[in-house]
Amino acid sequence: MIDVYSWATPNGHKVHIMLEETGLKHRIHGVNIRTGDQFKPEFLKISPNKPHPRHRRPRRARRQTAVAVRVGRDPALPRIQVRQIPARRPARALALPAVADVADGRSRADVRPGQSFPPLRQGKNRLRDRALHQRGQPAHQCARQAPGRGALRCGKRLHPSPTWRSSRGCATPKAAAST
Amino acid sequence: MAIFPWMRNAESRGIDMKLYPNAQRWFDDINARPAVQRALQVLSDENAAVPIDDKAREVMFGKTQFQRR
Repeated sequence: MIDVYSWATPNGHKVHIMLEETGLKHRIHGVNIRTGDQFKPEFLKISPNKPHPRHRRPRRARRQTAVAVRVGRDPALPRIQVRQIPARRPARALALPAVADVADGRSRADVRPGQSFPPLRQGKNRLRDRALHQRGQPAHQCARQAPGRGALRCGKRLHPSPTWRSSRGCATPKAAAST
Repeated sequence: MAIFPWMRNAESRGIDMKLYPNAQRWFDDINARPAVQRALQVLSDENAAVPIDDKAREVMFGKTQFQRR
């Protein structure tokens, strides 16, 4: 559930349109900017800089998500579902190219709002693993270790490089796409 | 989504949409979507209930916004 604090203005409608199109669950809270609701203490608590619209997500959602995608496993037919983008940096950086692919028409968006992610992998790198997995490269192929805890962890490096991957004898995403 | 709402009252901004048929068609395509129509109804009644008078203008564009709170 997303709490939306907004008003019937062009900027507010941007958000309303996105929510209606994706079918995400949300609650609208009116902030009448003509009468000065945006300066009330209760709104400033959410948005100290006073712009509207503003949305507030529950804590768990904030950690995991924002709005959009997942790439299917078949590299020949990239399918992207409208799901949630990891909110955390490394995983988010890996998920965003998929969004760009849809925007540029390189792959097809398969819109099924409201679905949840597959269960998270164990371990602190689970978001990164999942993002790579969603780009068509199963995380467990990227390392000899058992999937989950050790997968894709390479020292302190955040993103495993292609050379690192090939030195481990596993397919790069490009090679996987050509087979 | 970002541009569409700002095109809704182009006339009041002094733009004649007849000069831009392609932009107008783009606007109409989006406007025809049911989800967009639902979204545009959000809070619109509440908004219409409050007239834009000098006080409202002051609140939105005047010094009120810069007061320390």
